[in-house]
Amino acid sequence: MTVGPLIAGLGSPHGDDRAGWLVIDELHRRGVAPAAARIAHHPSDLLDWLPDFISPPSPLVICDAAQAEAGAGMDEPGACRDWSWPYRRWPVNAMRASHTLPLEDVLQMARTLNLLPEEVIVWTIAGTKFDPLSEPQDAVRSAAKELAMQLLQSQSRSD
Amino acid sequence: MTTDNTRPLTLNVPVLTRVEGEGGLTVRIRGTQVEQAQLKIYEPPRLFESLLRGRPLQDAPDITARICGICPVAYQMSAVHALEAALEIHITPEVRRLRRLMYCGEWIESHALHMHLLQAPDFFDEHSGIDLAKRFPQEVQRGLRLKKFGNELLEVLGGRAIHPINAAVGGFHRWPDRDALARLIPHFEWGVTAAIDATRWVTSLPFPQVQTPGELVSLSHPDEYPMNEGRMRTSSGLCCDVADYPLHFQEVQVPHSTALHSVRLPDRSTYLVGPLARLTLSSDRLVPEAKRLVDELHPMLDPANPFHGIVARGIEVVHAYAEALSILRDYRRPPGPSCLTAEPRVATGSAATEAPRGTIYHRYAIDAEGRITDAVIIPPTSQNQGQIERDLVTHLQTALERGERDQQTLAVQCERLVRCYDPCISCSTHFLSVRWEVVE
Repeated sequence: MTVGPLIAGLGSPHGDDRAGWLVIDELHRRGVAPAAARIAHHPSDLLDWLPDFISPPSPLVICDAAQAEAGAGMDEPGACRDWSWPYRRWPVNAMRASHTLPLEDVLQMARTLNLLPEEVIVWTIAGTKFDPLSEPQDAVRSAAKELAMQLLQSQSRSD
Repeated sequence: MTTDNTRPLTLNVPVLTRVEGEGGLTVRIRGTQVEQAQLKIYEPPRLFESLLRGRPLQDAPDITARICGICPVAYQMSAVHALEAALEIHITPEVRRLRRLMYCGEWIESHALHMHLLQAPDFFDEHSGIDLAKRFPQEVQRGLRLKKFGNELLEVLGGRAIHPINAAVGGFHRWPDRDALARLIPHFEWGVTAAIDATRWVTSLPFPQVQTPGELVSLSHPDEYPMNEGRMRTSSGLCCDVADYPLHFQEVQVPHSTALHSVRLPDRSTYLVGPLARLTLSSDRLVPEAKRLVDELHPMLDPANPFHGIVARGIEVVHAYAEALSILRDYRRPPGPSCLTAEPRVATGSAATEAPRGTIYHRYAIDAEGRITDAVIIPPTSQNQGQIERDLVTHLQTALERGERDQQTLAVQCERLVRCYDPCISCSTHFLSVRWEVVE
């Protein structure tokens, strides 16, 4: 059992889509335990982890890349914002694939099964380049690092 | 919408979810006769066989694993076995057991997912696993937990759960960590019991009375439940070496699909691969826990009813958990290298193994430098496609003869029947739409 906040970084090795993983890498570099900050390859990984996670009153924090989109507070690569789930509008067009559940469905399933803490925060870092196996842009790297620092600070405030 | 069968009508019913793959279904009805059902695969061919040509044979496990995110082990292991046959590499018993352990992990994660999130909602008129979880939270949570330990096993053995990277021609790149495997033992002890409970639960589902008898095909092994090795066996009595597969089975092109269909020779008939076929042909080789369950459930298990595939999957999850537990308990890191090598030579080799949804066949030719010069990969869904179309015709015809005319209802029945086979439509899909053509 893991007690405390769970921070999950969603992503893939493809350019700016690595943003969520970069946040977790930075947290690990700064001493956060691997069980408390985890890299997810698919949103459904959360369904594997949540049953072993006791959180109250800590939130579940999810970090993910999002396609940069004008007008949504994510105009430029590296723009970062948080979304409280359940949100009225999902910030990006969720990829729907048959081989895995999209994040929205995973969170709904987790809520149905009483696996979610009261608070679920999704942080998105905007990106524009998602070419296979490419490197993330500098702006995305910087944003991921800043977000990791911010998460650490908010965690220490709540301790 | 209820239709008058004298009135020509074309109806599009969009979006069949909860299948692995992307395709369409066209049903043609003339009056009260179903003339044709075509499972249309319209996504472009992925050309994996061409991709493999010219590559070093050592690349095959990682490339073929990419064919599918649900059953990468079966693809990469079929490649590995075929190439080992070409090179005459005889793997050690330790490697063989660990490979069966990998299959157990894959069967567990794939079957548990299909049982609980893809197919079970159909029996309760629910649209998704999320809706099902509202009615059966404990059962769904148990299913997710069953799946989770299958994934964790693959992660330990293969380096990661999806597209594992530890399999190699000749063995493994490295031996798995004994402590990491030992930590899974309590979970697999739980899993055997939980899988039995899950199977009893799915056996209680309200099954439609459907009869679609056909020829059943799977691997068969004298001592083991078929996973990674055996002879090709059919319910009509064929039992042949895998090397003779091309003499008895053939891939053919059909105009309505970018995927090849596989047929039985010489009469080019359809056949079924998958859990129902395996269970029917090899139930006496299940582990005792699963065999007892078969004996208990036998009166309710009908291999001619594709909806009973969910029960067969449950029994295979029990088998996989129990066999995995036995291997986990015995595992000691073996002495010696984890991978055997052989000098490359001009040769061909073939192999068939059992993916969760049925038999996969691979054949490779290699040159003196160890490069692949030819590759043939026949996935299970290609082999089942013809049977699915045939069963759809039978199923719909029966429904029409019962007087069912509501196209919405019939479309739902079609979708549910297709889901019974757990199709992985060319191993990458998002939805399947049903297109109706009703003609005079």
